[in-house]
Amino acid sequence: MPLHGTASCGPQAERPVSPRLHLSALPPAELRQRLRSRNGLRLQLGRFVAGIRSNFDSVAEGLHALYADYPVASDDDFCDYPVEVRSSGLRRYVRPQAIFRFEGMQPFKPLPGDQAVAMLEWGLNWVFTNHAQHYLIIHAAVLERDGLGLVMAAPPGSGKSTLCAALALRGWRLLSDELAMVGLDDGLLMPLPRPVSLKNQSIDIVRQLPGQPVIGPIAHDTAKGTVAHMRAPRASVEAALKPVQPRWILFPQFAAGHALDIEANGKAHTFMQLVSNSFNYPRLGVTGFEAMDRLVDGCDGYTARYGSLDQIVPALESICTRSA
Amino acid sequence: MTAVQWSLVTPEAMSVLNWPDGSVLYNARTTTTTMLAPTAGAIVARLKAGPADTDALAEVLPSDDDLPLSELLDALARHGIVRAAG
Repeated sequence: MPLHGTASCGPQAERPVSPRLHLSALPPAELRQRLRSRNGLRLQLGRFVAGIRSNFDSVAEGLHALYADYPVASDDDFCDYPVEVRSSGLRRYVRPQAIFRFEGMQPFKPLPGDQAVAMLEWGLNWVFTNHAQHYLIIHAAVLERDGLGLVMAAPPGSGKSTLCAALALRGWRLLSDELAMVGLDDGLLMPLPRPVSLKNQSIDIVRQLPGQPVIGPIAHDTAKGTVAHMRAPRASVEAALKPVQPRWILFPQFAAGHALDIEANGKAHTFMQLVSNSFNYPRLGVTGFEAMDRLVDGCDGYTARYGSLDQIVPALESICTRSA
Repeated sequence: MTAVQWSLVTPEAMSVLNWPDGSVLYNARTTTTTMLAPTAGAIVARLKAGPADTDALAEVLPSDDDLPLSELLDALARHGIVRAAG
C-alpha cells in the first residue's frame, strides 16, 4: 500500500501556495526525524511536492546544504512524488547501501551508502523525467535572463552543467540544470530549480567562480566519477512558480583548448537535435511534435564550441541581450 | 494515357514543417520523425494537400534543383512516405 498520495501532475499544480517554513529553519534533529517519518519530509520543488524519506544522516546533511532555501510543505499537502533513499537490514551497519524507491518501484541498483545524496538527486531526475507527462521534457539546462529563457541541450560531458552554474552565479535565473519542461498547452518553460550536478574537474572550476557557490557533499567513485552539487541560488528558488517564455536554444560543446566558435542553427536541425535530447517526445505523439514545433519556432538556435567559460559566458550574454 | 498520380502513404497521419534548412516530417502512424531536404519537404507539403502528378509536383521544385524529380520520388517511396497510384 502506498504510504503517500498517488503520484501525478497537472491539476494540482494550480493549488494555492501558502507561506511556508524553509528547510533551513528545521533543526537538524527535526529534519532527520521528518525524513524517517511515515510521510517523509515534504519539500516544495517548483510546482511539485516531493515526500522524501531516508534513514541516512548524510541525506539530512545534504538536504540541509543544498535545499536550505526550499519551502517545506505540510503533511496535509498533496504529495506528488513520494521517494525514498534508505539502507535496510544488516547493510545498515556493514558497508551500507543506498536503495532508491518510488512508489514501490526500485529503478536503480543499490549504490554505496556514501552516494546516498547523489542517488537522491538522480532518483528525483528519474521521477520527474518519467512521470511529469504534462510537459515535453528535454535533457537541458534552462536559465532566464530579462524574462526570456535559454535552453541549453546537450548530452552528458558537453560542459552544460558547468556553464549553467557559471551563468546562475552571474545572476541568470536557474530554472533547471537537467530538465527543460515545456508546457504542452502554453509552450512556457516550467521552472524546477534544483541543485546543479557537477562532475570531476568542474567541481573545482565552479568552486572558484565568483558568486559564492555553495557546494554540497562530494561523492567519490560513482559511475560518473566524483560528483557534487551546487546549491541553486535563492532568488531562483523563490521564483520557482514563474514560468518563462523560451527565446534561445543552445547546443554547447566544451573541448579543452578549443577556440570560441558560435554558429546559428537552422530550425529543422534545431528541431532534430532537440528530439534526440528529449526524454519523452516519442511518448507524447503528435502533441510532442506540436510542442517541439512551437518551441523551435519561437527561438533562435545556436551551436557553441568553446574551450573556457571566459569565452562562452560573455558571448552568450551578448547574444541574449542583442536578440532579446 | 493517364499520368501517374502520387500521394502520401498515410496523409492523415503525416505532418510536415518546412524551414529553409530542411523539413521535419512526423508520421503519427509510425511515431517517427524524419528530417528531409527542403525540396523533399516541398513535395510532401504539396502532397499533403492531395494527390498530384509529376507535372504538378515539378512546379513546387526550385528551378535550380539538380536532383531529378523521378529520383526524389523514388527515394521518398523507398522510405514509405509517398506512393504512386494509378
